[in-house]
Amino acid sequence: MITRQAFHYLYVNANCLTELALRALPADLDSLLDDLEPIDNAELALELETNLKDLNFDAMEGLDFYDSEVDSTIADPVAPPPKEDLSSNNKIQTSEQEGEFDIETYMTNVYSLEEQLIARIDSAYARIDHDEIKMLLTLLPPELPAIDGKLSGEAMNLWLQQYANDVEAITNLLIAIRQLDFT
Amino acid sequence: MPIADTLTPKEAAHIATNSYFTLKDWINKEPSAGVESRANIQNRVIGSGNAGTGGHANTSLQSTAMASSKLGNVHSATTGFGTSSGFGYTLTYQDGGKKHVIIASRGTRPEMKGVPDIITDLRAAAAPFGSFGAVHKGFKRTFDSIQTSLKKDSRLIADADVVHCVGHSLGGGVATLLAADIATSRKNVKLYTFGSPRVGCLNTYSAIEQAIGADNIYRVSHDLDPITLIAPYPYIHLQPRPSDPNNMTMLSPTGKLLSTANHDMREYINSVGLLGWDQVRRASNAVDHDNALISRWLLHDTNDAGWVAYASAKTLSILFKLFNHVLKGISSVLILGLTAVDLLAEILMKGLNRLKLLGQKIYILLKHAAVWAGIKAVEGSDFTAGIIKRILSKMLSALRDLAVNSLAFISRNITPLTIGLGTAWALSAASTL
Repeated sequence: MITRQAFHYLYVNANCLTELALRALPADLDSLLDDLEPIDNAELALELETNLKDLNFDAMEGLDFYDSEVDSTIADPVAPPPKEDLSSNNKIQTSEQEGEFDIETYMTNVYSLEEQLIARIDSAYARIDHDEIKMLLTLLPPELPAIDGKLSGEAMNLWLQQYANDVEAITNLLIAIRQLDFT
Repeated sequence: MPIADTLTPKEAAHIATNSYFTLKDWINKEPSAGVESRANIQNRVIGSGNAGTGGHANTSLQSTAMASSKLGNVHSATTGFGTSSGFGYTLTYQDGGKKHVIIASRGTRPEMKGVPDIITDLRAAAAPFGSFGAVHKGFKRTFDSIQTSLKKDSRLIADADVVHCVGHSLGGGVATLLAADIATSRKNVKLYTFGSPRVGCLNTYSAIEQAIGADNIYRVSHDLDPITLIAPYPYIHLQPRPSDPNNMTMLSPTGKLLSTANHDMREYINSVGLLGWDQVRRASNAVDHDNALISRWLLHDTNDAGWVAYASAKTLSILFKLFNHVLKGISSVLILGLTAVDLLAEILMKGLNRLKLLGQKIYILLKHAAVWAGIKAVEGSDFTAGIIKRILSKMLSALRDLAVNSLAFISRNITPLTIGLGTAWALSAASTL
């Protein structure tokens, strides 16, 4: 059985890892943008010619905001010409960073919020499958510091590096913890 | 008086705010079905502005250049379960020998208790709207129901030199339809919306723009106002592109997060302040319209873990920004000012080939989105429609909660909020997600 205290750190660290990985993405994404071609006016014009009948509303069944009740008698408007020049909006600019992010401060801050998280973590803890979580923990890279304990910023950086390397066991653990926010 | 036949941002914001006073007992912060007394509406719109016990801020036009305006008809609309309630008003004034008519529409349905009714408002069924194409059925229904009341102003509108349509929130959606409809008679129409949801399907936005004239549309929004993100694709805003001059998307008062407080009309009043339209446009340039700002947005003041206080809303905000960052240059939906949710909806509705066209890089983001949503997804092109739908479902669910809270926020309207209090409220609301 996972103890409540161990789960607390697991829940906090998994959510931190998810958020920190997202925050770290822009630099990676910038490097991926080089070979992308901006959409041109002709392509945009083609896009705007889409008619309602070309859209598969059935694919959206059951989703919030979508209603299968679409009137088939609706006339589509005439497609307008695209704006003359969209290119100025499409230029990729160099990232400019400001402010200082300090992962040690981040981790210190998040652990100081234990009281604020009690109800949320209690609720999640009541719903976990202990055997599944234990199994997921055993599959993690053994060289990493324990994720069900307090991590320094430096230790969290090690986790971030491994997660960025697509280690499936880490992904699976994060998914299991993130699911708890949606159930 | 308004310059060059156009209301100032402050005038438009006050006029939109005052439309809520037509609802019975809104002035006392106990809104119920029905219409407020004309005397109280008159007081709030162009009088001393202090009627009622609700402690609302004074947004009367009395202290403005429009003090000589005259209150015309008070409009009612069927806003739910067949109940007719105050929905807005007509205001008239003359300037430079021209006759001006203002039609103000309020948003949401605070007189109808309960979340299900609000959710009905948000459902994205489409309905035909004349020659314009398809529009949001909820707004069309309210537009239809206001027609009986509006007919009393038909002569006034016909004789006017300029008609101004103004609205906040769902009222912005109805104002859009009113402006489009009046524009079909070749009338000079101007449209001012604050925090409006999207009204038209696909190219409908363009057909409406052509009828009204893009220069006559003043669409003010906060960049992280959740109501402006709905209805999702295939709905598209008027002046949708970041480069459109009258897409006046301003920085949100709560900073970096999708938040209910960003929809508050009082926050819109604060945002436009005493600025002119050109200044509002310039202010909107500060919004993250270009990629250079993404890292700044993510890294500024971020030594606190956003997920703690804001739960799913925080990371959803980050995902929206990241999708926007990558796709702005290559995707039509994001050129049109849409979001990650819209992209996924477009992919589902048009087929997975859309996804492949975006290249392998998009899978990096999708993988992170799947983890955020707690969904097991495999690598690369093995992303199926089912998995994308499940990710989209979680995003829409978080967005719906924010949107419902935003509309409920209007209903509660317990205490006038400063920006600081609004932020605190947003934080507590979002933390329940």
